[in-house]
Amino acid sequence: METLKLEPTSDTPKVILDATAGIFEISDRCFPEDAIRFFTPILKWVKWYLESPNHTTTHFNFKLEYFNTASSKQLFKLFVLLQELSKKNEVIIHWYYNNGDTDMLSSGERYSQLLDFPFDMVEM
Amino acid sequence: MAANNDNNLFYIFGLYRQMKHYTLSYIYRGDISDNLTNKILSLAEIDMEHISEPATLRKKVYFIMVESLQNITRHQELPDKPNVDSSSFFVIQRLGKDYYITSGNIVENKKIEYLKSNLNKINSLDKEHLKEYYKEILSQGEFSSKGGAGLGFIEMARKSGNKLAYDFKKINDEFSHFYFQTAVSLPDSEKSVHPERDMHEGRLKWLEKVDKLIVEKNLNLIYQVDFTQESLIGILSMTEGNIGNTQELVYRKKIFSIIIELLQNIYKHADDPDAKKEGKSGIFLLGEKEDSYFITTGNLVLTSRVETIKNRLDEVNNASFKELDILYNKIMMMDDKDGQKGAGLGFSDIKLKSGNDIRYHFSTVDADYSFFEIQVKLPTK
Repeated sequence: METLKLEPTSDTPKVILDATAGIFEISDRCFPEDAIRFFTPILKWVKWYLESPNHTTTHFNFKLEYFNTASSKQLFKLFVLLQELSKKNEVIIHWYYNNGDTDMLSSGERYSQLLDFPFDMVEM
Repeated sequence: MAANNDNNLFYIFGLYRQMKHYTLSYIYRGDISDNLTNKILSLAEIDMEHISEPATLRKKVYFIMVESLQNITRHQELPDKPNVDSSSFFVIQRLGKDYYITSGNIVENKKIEYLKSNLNKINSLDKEHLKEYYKEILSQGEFSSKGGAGLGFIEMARKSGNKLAYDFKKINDEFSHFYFQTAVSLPDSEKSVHPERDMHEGRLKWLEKVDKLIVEKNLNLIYQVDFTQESLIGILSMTEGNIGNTQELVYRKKIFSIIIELLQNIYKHADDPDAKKEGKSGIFLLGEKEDSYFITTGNLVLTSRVETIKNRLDEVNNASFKELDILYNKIMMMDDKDGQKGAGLGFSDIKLKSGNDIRYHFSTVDADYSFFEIQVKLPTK
């Protein structure tokens, strides 16, 4: 499967989705002008991956600085897919937040509770 | 009870109305550091590139901005007088094809006569004589201890091709505010014929009034432009320079999130009568008062939409934080609609992050449009 790699810009995050190396990561800030368009290839990639996931545990890292509400909705779609993936393959979502950043922590908790899917909350 | 039609916000509409001829107004009051200078310059660069301003004009504007900002940082005198506000003032405005760059800083009264005679002399000289005067000063080499030689003013007059406007406003027996404005325009043949452009002196007086208002309302920044994603990125960078050193990372992220929601709201949802241009006309204000930051935006909306927007805001304001969480989740789980521009979560997110109700105000502009102001209070503790 082809790797999806996006370099960070001033308003979009760094994305690495590399099944071969086993690296799944979205980091930095995320407030694109058009969140639906930005997340389309990411969601598409995860759907592909769902078809033939790795045999080892999928560790998905979210190291977001901040994101806009339009992205928040697209992230929810991504988590729905990851939850589906967890039926086939062990998935651990590592949700990073800065020490004291209750906004980022509660965003992670929101997704986790909504989907009834435990996240690994990692304080930085 | 929701803060419906909050009259304390009304002055913003007045400001917006007074600035409506300008396609850009960037007004800042505070301490100007080298770091902030760089951010201001890059924001202006973004704006000028965005509207494909001719390179010659861009270079001139850039040069004059640098000189004005250096004048401020170099002469930003910090008197050991706790009662005197020594912060500086910096403005860049665009009107038609003309740029107006204004600086304001504190000066000692005893220097006023020297400054006045120097500026009057420069204003009395034509192009050729300015060149001679420049050489004369340069050969004398009487550089002041601050690194300038009075060459800055001459250069600004030469590069701009216009007279320098200035004014002094007395603070007390020792200090005054020194306001200084340079107009930059394209060569004569391309000069714009905007009806407002000849009000040079009036413009400086008006800015002095705005400066007074800024102090009264505890503002740091007024930014009026056609908002786009690029200007949002510029503002975030500015805000970083502005509050970056004094506030914790976590707080800064909160402020950024709120600014993003408010400004994306403008360029995604505002109604602008001029549908041809790329951005949406609006105003952004940042202020600090009694341990809180105040973030305010204003933009036009169709009056026919006012009730719907009010209802959305009241729904958010009337909800408890628990109810808001439920509302947020409900909206987040909805499917995207065709042509959807946002998630519909902005107001909820702003209240959840700020911990405060959202203040707002609508004013009637004309038969079709209303001016929509929104203010978020974000306590620093």
